[in-house]
Amino acid sequence: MHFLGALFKSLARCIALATGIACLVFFVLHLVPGDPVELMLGETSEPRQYELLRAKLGLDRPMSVRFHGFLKNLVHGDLGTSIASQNPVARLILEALPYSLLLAVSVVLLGSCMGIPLGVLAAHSRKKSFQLFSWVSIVFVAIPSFWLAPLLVLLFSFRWPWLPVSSFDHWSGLVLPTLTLGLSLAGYLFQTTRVAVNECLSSDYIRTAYAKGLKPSRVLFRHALPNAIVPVFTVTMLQFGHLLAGTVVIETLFNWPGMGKLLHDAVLQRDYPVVQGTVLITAMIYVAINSVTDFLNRFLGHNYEQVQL
Amino acid sequence: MNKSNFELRIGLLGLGLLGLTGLAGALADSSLPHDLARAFHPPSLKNGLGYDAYGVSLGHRILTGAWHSLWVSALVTAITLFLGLVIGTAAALGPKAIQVVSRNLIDCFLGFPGLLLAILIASIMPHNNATLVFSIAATGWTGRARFCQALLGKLSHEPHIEAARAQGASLVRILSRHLWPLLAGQLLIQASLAMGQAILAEASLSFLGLGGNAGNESWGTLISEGRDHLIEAPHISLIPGVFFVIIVLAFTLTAEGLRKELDPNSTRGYTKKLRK
Repeated sequence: MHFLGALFKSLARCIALATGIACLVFFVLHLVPGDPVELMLGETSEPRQYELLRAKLGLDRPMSVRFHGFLKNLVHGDLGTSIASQNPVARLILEALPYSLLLAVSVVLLGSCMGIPLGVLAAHSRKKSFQLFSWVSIVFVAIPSFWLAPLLVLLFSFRWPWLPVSSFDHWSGLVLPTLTLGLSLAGYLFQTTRVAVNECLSSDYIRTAYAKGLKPSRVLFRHALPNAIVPVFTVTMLQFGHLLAGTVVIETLFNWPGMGKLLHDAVLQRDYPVVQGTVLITAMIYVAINSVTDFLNRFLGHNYEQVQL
Repeated sequence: MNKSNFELRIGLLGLGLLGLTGLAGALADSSLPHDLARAFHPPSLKNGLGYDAYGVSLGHRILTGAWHSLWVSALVTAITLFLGLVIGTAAALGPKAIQVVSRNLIDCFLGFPGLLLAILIASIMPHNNATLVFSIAATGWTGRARFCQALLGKLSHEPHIEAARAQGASLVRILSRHLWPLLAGQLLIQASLAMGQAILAEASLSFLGLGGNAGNESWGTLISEGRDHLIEAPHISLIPGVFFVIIVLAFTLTAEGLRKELDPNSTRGYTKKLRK
């Protein structure tokens, strides 16, 4: 597809989705039953204090005015002010984002370096011994991260004190969270890759390639892999987006100062503007990454379907 | 049952065990007897699965937690499958306007990765079981809807559906007589996957302190509590985790076994993926 056409389509989809998500966040926060002010102050608050906080959050204004103000501030990059620390929410997010990015990049690197080559091998060789890898990969995917993390801490911080439990200014603090998330990602990418390569290898053009007398390695690298890599690439990018946001549990466990920890702390402190801002920005980043994937797939002319999440 | 269907056998065995555990948990005495003298006792033949920080038997807590996890995730699964079927059908075959609306709705909800939306909802609503179920269901239905949409979109071009349409069958008749029955087996697989995901989601939310009613036993809270005593009593968080792995494996294997059973020629692997 033409470069500009692909760019335009992906961009339009991205903008439409981002708008939709902003509206969804607003309506979830304002229409779902439950009073954030009451939750923040506790039930024993004085009426005066209650009114003050309500006014501060702008909750005393009519819905349409609030919605208008919300969109206007969003466009200007103003996400409000944290109630707990009095810092602008946008600054808190900008401080947390690099940490999440670092963790996500290292997890994706570990996962794809382990999962993808093994998946290709497993599909290519079809040996029984690779069945073992399949079983291991299912177990890796099934292990919940909030269980693997304490286990790894016990083993590598207490039993053999090689690594710190939590440290974010030295590379060694990155190892345990990366392992925790990377192993399950590796299992998942292994399965995806194996299935994708298997499917390519059983199609007609591969039989033709073999019939021409090509070597198996050439069939694999020239004919099967370029096609099989499309779903694998898409899934990897989706997982990258997930990692930027969905690591709340792991970031909390390892005290990693990223977006997930910011969100969790805000939830515990009932810091409602921070919760709103973090969720909003995380979802936006996720949509942006998906749109980049979408654009690359369109631009490279991949015949792919909407990926199932 | 296909003789070589190893996955289904193991999976169903695991699910049977889970069912028994849940049943025992439902029937068990919910007032947990505690004895501080026994706090932190590790697992042994005499102590069973060991004791937690308050001297409550860990085995007892795991049983009651299993019941909680089971009913929450069963309810969530039922809701998500229903919503997914309805909205997925609307997105695939409804009138044009409804198609556009429901497709965009699915897209918007899919824009929240992982448990983000559930955390958002659970953090502003009062903490109780209804919130827990609502927040997990609100995140979980999208995958099901997208699945139904893709499958129905594909199936609606099958010759026998075209034939029914050519005979003048109404949309409702085509859906109820021809399309939904075809979906039933796939929905069973989806249900198995959804149960596993819902159990994990429930545990993650409880772990983060966003669980249901206060005083509820949940494996997530159990693991979270054990985190404070990781060095002196690692069994408190590690043993419930083993149960987790077994249960999620049981659901994954059941789904995979069912898939083999329904589609023996499938080359698909353990990953949930629908391809043309």
